[in-house]
Amino acid sequence: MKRMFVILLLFYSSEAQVRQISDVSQKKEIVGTPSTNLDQQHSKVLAVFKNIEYGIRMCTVEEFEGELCAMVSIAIGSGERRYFSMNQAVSVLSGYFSGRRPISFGFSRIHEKGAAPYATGRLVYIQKGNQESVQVYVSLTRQDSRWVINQFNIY
Amino acid sequence: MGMTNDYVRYARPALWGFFICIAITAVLIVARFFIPTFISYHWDGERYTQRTRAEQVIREAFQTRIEKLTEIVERASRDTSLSTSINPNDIPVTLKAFQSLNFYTLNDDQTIDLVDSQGNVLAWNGTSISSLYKRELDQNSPEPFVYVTQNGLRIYLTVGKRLAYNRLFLLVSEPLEVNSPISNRFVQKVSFCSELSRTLGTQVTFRLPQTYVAHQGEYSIPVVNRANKTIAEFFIAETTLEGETSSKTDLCMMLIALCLACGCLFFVSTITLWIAKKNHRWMTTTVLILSLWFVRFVWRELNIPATLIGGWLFNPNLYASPFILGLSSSLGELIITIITAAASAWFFFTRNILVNETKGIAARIGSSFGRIGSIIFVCIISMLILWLFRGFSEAVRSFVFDSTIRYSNPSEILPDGAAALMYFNSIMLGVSLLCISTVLIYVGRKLLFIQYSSAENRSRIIFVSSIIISIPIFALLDRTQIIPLLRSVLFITICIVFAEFIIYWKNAGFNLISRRWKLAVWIVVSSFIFGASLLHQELQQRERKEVEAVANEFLRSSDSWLTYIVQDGLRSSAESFTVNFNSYSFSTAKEDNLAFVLWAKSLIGKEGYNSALILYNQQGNEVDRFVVGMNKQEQQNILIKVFAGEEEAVHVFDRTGPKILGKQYGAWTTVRDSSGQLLGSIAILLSERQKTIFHEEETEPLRQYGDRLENDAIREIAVHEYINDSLVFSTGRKLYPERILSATMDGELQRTTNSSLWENIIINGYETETMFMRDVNSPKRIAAISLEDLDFRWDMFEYLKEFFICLVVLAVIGIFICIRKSIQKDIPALGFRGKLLIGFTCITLVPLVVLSYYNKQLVEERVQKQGEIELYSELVRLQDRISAYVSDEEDFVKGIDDDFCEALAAEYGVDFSIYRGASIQASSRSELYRTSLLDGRLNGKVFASTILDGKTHVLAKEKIGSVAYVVGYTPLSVNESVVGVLAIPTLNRQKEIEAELAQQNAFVFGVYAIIFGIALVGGGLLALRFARPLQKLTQAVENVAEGNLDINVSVKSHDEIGTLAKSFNDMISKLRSSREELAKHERENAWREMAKQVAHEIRNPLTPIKLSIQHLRQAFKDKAPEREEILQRVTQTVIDQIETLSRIATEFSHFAKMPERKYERVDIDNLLKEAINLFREVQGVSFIDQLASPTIKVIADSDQLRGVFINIIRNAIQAIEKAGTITISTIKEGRVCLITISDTGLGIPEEIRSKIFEPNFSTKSEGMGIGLAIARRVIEDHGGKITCQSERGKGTTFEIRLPV
Repeated sequence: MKRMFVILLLFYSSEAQVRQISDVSQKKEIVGTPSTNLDQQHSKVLAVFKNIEYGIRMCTVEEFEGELCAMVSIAIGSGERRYFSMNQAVSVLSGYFSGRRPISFGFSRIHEKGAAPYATGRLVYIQKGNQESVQVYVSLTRQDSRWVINQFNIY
Repeated sequence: MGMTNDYVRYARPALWGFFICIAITAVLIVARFFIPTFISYHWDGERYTQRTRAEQVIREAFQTRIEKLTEIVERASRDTSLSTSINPNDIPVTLKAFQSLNFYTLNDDQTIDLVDSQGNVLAWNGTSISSLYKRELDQNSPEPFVYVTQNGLRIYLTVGKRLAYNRLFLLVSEPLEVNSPISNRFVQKVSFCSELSRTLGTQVTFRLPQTYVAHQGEYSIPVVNRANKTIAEFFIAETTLEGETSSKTDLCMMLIALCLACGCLFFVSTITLWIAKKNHRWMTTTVLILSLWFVRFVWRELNIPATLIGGWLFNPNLYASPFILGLSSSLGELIITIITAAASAWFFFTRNILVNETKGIAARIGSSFGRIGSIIFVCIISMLILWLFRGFSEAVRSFVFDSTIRYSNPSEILPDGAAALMYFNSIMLGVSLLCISTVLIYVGRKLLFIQYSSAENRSRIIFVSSIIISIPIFALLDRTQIIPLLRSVLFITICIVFAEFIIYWKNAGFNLISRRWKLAVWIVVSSFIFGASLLHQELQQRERKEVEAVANEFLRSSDSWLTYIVQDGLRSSAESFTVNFNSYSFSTAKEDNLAFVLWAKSLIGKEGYNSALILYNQQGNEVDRFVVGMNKQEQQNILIKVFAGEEEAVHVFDRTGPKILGKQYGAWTTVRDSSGQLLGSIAILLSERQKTIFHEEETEPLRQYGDRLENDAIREIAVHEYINDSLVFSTGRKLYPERILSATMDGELQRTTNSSLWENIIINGYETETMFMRDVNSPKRIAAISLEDLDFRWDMFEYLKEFFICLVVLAVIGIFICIRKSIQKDIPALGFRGKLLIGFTCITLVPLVVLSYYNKQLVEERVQKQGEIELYSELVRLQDRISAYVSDEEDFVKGIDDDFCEALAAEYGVDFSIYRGASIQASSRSELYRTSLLDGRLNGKVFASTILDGKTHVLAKEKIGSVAYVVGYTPLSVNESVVGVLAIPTLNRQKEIEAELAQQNAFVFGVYAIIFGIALVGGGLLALRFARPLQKLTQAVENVAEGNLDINVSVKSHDEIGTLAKSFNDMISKLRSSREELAKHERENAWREMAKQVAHEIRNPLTPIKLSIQHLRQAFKDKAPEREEILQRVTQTVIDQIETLSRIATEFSHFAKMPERKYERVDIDNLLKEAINLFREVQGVSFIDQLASPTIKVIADSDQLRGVFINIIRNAIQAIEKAGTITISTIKEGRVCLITISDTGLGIPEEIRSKIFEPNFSTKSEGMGIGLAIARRVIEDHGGKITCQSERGKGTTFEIRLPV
């Protein structure tokens, strides 16, 4: 019994892997090159932004954690802009959203064209009973035929 | 029994603790539901209390600040050198005043000014608050006066006082707040309000009077001076009912979590202690491990202790990984998890290895599966170990990739806190893995040996073969292919070696417990070797990833974030006009510092990018400009291109300089009022080089990753660009590659399927690791980044630092063992060899510490000196150049402006400023003075030294925010009269010191690592050499103590130890002779005693024989009729007495027959079991044996001890009337083995109890009564003791104590 438990425990510990892109939930879909299939690219980009928007509106990272790239640049408040691994980025953003109750969020500006599409919007939330708001900036990059988040700024 | 009582003793308080925690939790849960109602009911009163408290706290805090400054003013006002009348033309007096002021300020932020009655500053120390104080001076009152004022970015609190004997005033000021949106390392947030906000738990802002009106949800607290005039206003954000409820509910939830965490701990403690009471080791260990993990998971779910401790340790910004259900969500959580894992692994290890029960387990497994099954089992455990090792590798990878910890900092001798903790984690995880793997290998090997018990070599071959076969099978099954085959083989070999050692120790009869420390050292060092090498490999991987990211950034067309913030800056500035500056006239823009105000409000200003904001009026003429980190030429080039482009569009341009990396962004827009009337236009420029305040900072892409690639101070990192295989750009200084990309490289780059290609190439004779990356959008463009290869000394230095952590881990384990032993009152004594080894280690470590300190001092001094020389040279060069340019004072006033300085700075490659008198005249970085980042007034000490005292060169340490730097000053003279001061700052000096320190560390400590290694190995060998003769002597003394005198210590040395050995041998020789003599005497005495006893015993039967025979002879002589009967009776008597004589002879023969003892290591359990087995069949007697585990071994004569046990057990059986129990137990008490034999017989009467060990005493009808006498003699001859306790009707207990 004890050995079984230890083996099970070690089974979990051996899963201590840095997640690969292939592990994440987002399906791999072939995105055409911008010059040949612009509409398709825009729709893909908008779909990713929609996921992110929903996640931020719910103040939950689970909705878009599959959309993060291997190294994400995150800046929160006036803090330093730093690069985080996907695993760490999920924890950092979860930590930020955990103490906040969202009121409203929507991307007010979406720039879906080009090699680095981005979107910004204002998140209104309640923290410790007080209503506050921040501006959120998210930009995407193409990685292994997918559009993934490479920058997440909250200021 | 004692242990069981202990468990019960601890279990009860634990159970009570659990109930108390549950009760408190229940109360808190109920309270949590009533909190909103309660707060709502008392809200008005609470709000009033909060306001009153806020007012009290703010006024007290403000008053404390005032009192601190007042104390300085009062102290300074008593200084006679300041009380005398100062005439600016009286240089010695003024100089004295400057020198005196230096004594009175407490920190760098404080300013002390000496002003005349007109408000003119005569002498000063610190940054300037005001150039003219007239308005604030209280001319009439001798008492200190207080006021608050704003200067540049800061708001100051000033306390002043009129001096007693003249019309001079002293004013001491310190900043209260930074009133600027800029927040970077150059402008530190000095915030009085932050302190108050923390104390009051709500947002507090501070304003000058009548500059702000309280918004909804705020209330103000004015602060007045003695004249009842408001000098400042504090605005406090009113706590809302919801906010108060939320904060109290959060507190309640935290307390609930804490109670549940404690309750959980008490609960599992109760369960574990209860199970431990049952005395089943196996079950206790299982429950203990399960309990550990149960508590760990519960605490994680409750977020304990993160909620209580918090701080950087539990901040995911440092490290975060999702593995094992969030148990490593931060560095703190990871440490707790790894300690739990290490503790579990150690319990698992000790349970299976140190406790001798593995044989049984192995036998059980073996009996089920047979030989083939055992081979399969070995294969499975081998693959399981490899799989675990893969998990370990992945965990180490996560330690590197899922963290932002800076592992390598060559300028520091010790790793920083977070890195040290990560090294600790990797070592402890390695320890856990090695413990578990060794146990598995040990069990597998045991199993095979049992199955093939008759053929040991055959089983060994099968065991090794099974493992060898498993490795490629695992490699085939494992899709990830993460671990190299060689490393897997090495790891599993280490585990086999450990298992072999353990088996060897056990077979050789060594006490494994005493070797636990040695085993721990080996395991920790092995895990360090595996952990450190894996960590370094992953760090190299991470560095490569970062370099690839740098290359990607280099190749991209533009950065969307920078594009966005330029657009945002333009939009926000234009909107600002529409909303706030509807009828604003651009003509006063320069006076209002409008460009800076707009820049500071924009995102660009908040982020602190190098940028420019330029304002134009309706006619298109420039009216104001604010610039940070961009020179005029650069701005002009971009502006021409920007205005040629579309309005509001962001234009991106490539670099302009040969060594400058990064792009430039620019955009412009027109500004209109609400009616659409054109007011002017705004242009924003942004340079991708970040946050530079003086020239020669790193380029932006490297700075973005700067925390990780800061090694460029030690080794060069150069970026190159090729177009059509020709080099078009390179930042390399040393690493400047060939102009044409080699055909081989181009070919390889085309063949590779990856986006990047890494190659080790030599550039200009330097070995480099170079990464090539092709631009996917423009295939003819190739980016290359070269990293200069560092030699082995750098690696050695890093490994040395990590080894230090390893030593710390060992020290912690050692301390833990010592504490545990001291609790058990069995403090382990450190051997002579151990002491010598520790001594050698300390002797080699002490110079390390001294050397590091000395090295640091030396480098700092040398770099500082070198810097000073360079600075003097630059000062002289610029001084000569300026003197040549300026012919008279008018030239100086009119000709020296910012443009002149910028041009000269570009020419000489050095930034500088020029002061006229005490005020700034011009600077190559004028924006720094405009934004008050630098003080426009000359440093008081410098003014006194250069202008007043006439010194030619002065160096002063100054600060911008947290950045400390040295500034060199020299006076500027025109026609032999001093007109101003030239200042050159050296901002990069600290970086140079760090680079120099790193070089020194790597060189000194790299070599030191080798010396340290040699010293350790040499010390170990020497310790062994010194300790061996002493060990031999110790062994010999132990043998002598056991009675063995047939020994001779052979020590060849002729030193003190040799003499000691010789003396010892002589002593043994004499002892041998004495013992022989003694034995001879003893024998003679014994024979005499025996003869006396024999004579006495024989005399008794001889008397009846003699009497009977005399009676018979008389009967025959008298021809008595019954002589036949008498004959019959007498012969019977004689026969009986002869039998008695025979018995006496036998008994004495046994007593006398004490053969020479044969000492050996005897298993007490076996002897007792043999003795019990002789009497198992006796009717009505049952045996209970409670023998110690592990078995106790003593040095004794087994035959004699067996005889003692048989004798006592036989006596016990004879003492039992009909039925009864004999209980036999053994226990180890320190270094004594206690054997207890108890019966439930009749017991021994008290009056004869003291005689039972005397010869010839017996209560029985048969026997000579010498059994117990012999027993006592045997036990005492073995250095032991035998005692007896008895109670009539209840039984007798014999206790035998033998030395172990």
